Amino acid sequence: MTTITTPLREEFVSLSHVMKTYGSKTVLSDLSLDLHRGELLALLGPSGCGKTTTLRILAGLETPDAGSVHIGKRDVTAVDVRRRGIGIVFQSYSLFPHMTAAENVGYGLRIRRQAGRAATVAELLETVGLAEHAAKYPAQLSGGQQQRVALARALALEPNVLLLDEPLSALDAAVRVQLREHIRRIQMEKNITTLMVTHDQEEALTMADRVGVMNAGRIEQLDTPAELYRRPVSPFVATFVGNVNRMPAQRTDNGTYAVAGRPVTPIGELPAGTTAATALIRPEDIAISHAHASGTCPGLTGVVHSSVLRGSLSSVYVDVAELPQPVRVDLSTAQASAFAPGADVSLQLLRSEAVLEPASPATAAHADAAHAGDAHEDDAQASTASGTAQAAGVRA
Amino acid sequence: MAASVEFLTTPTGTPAGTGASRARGAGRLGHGKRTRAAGRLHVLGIVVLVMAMVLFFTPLIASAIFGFTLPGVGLTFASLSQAFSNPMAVQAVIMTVLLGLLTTAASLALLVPTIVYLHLRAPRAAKLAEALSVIPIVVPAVALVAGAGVFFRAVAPGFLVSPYALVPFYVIITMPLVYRALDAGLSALHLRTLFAAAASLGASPWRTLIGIVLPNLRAALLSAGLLCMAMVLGEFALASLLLQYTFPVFLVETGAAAPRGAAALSFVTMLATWGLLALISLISAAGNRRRRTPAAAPSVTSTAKEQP
Repeated sequence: MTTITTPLREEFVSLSHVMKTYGSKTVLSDLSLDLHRGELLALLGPSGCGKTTTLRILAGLETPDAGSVHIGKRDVTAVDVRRRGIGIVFQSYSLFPHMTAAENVGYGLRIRRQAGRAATVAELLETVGLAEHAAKYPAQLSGGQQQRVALARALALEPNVLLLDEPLSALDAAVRVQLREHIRRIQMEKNITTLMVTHDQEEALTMADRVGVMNAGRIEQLDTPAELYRRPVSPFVATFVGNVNRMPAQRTDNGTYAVAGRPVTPIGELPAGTTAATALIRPEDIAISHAHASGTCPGLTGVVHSSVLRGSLSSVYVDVAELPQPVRVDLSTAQASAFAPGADVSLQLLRSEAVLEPASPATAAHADAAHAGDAHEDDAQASTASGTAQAAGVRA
Repeated sequence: MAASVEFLTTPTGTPAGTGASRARGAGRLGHGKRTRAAGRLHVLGIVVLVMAMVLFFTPLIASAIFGFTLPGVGLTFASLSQAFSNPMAVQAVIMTVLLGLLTTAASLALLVPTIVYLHLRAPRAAKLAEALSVIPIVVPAVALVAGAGVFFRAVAPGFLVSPYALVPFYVIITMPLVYRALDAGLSALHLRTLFAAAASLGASPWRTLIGIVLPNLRAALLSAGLLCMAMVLGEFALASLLLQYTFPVFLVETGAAAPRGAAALSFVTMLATWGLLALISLISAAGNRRRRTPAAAPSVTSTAKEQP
């Protein structure tokens, strides 16, 4: 197995206080980011969030309006792409169409007039598993093979930093999964500091040492995949990475919040004076049991609406009277088979922490007015809260 | 990827297929009627095509017959060889071919870097430039020569005397077609990615242009060049107004004295031009075949091939 010998915490690449605007549009506002030596850091975010601009600034393909870029100890802010010592793998179409795979891989070496090119090229093609395709032109290779040639080409000059610009997004699902393991293995073997840009959360979570979630030109959270998933700092991160159920949360007298009858500690800070909020609960953080079997635990009761098979996991959707949308509960497919549509079930929260999204007083009032007529038979209080949640959900 | 941000959605999706299948059913019902209508249209089309062909080819064939026969002799190349007995003929042909080559070289040297630059750095200006490149079509040769004449007589009086003075004019009048041919070729190339990739491997922009872009632009360069040649071989107005003796000028002059020779020559020229155009479409078809990469359409088969 691969062992990482260099200390992980050493900062190797850093962008500090980088600003970038195009015309009147601010793409990056005061962005700072450090990459440790040998780590793979993924920037994840919706399109237009600035992640590709960040990569292009690190590559030297764009110049920041303010701020600096360091690779190693060297300030490369004003250094041309050609002299930064970086390798880039683009989304697609980056191979030179008139050159064979081997010629593509050897192009950088040829420019440097490096001796022993043929051996290096052969070794790199072997690394990416394409030795027998060396003489083929890009048009004769599949999309996945082309990206592997692109990776070999980017590694040929032994760059200090590897940049992956959505390298898998043009490929079909099976190839994507296979290739991301392949890229990760090579990256770890070469111990090369890597920045990857992606909009695919699964790609980011499975490949990266750390993931930065970007939104509107800022990094909202930079953390390990596990922390990011379990303790998202904001509603945006919670909803962008993974799935969530929206459930109403009420402030209790002792200052905590109650979700589905259970006290919940908010992750992160809530604005002062928040009385009602929406809790974002992961589908696997809810336990489901048959209504008659549930003991004395407080919880929600509902009726199974349907279930969706996702492989080893299944999602059971439960209609809950107090909630505008069915609640999704993820559990193993074997367990899920016990809950047929129409079954009466009760739901309990499994975690005492949740991300809370404050509902603004205006929407709460509006929702109260809109839902005044359909007060639920069980509990007028719950109905009001669900109205608030619905309004918040619609606006989110 | 579609599932990356999945809010709570109702698990029962709307039956998306129904609209499409209903449309298909309707299509099948109306099929018979449409075939009959299409058949009638088909016949009409053939009639129009035949009439157009007759109108188009009759004068051509007539001029060929006129040029390649003599009363009482029958089929003969006498008129053609007589036209070429004029000592100026060969010189005119050579000069015209030379002008064509120079025009091609000048056009490509001017337009390739310009269009590449526009695509890379100023995509919006590229649209404007494309629109501007059409202007030469609407400027008549007389206006062009009159305007340029005034300018050059003041600035460089000797310039318009040389036959090579025609080259800049030819560059201008061929620009609409050459621009389009090059633009189409470059648009198919993902220039930004190629330049960025080459730069990350240490190549300078000029090295990328010559080593990466030009080899992949062969088809477009050839069609642009052939279009240039075809236009220069047939250009009469500018050469005549600037008092230069090119092949078209020679052709018109010969036509006044020996109409049969001129008819034969113009028929031969036409065949040559068609040959050039056929070559262009052959080359661009070959270019398209090469460019169809599997990456453009990731398919199930590429998954199967993926196992290392």
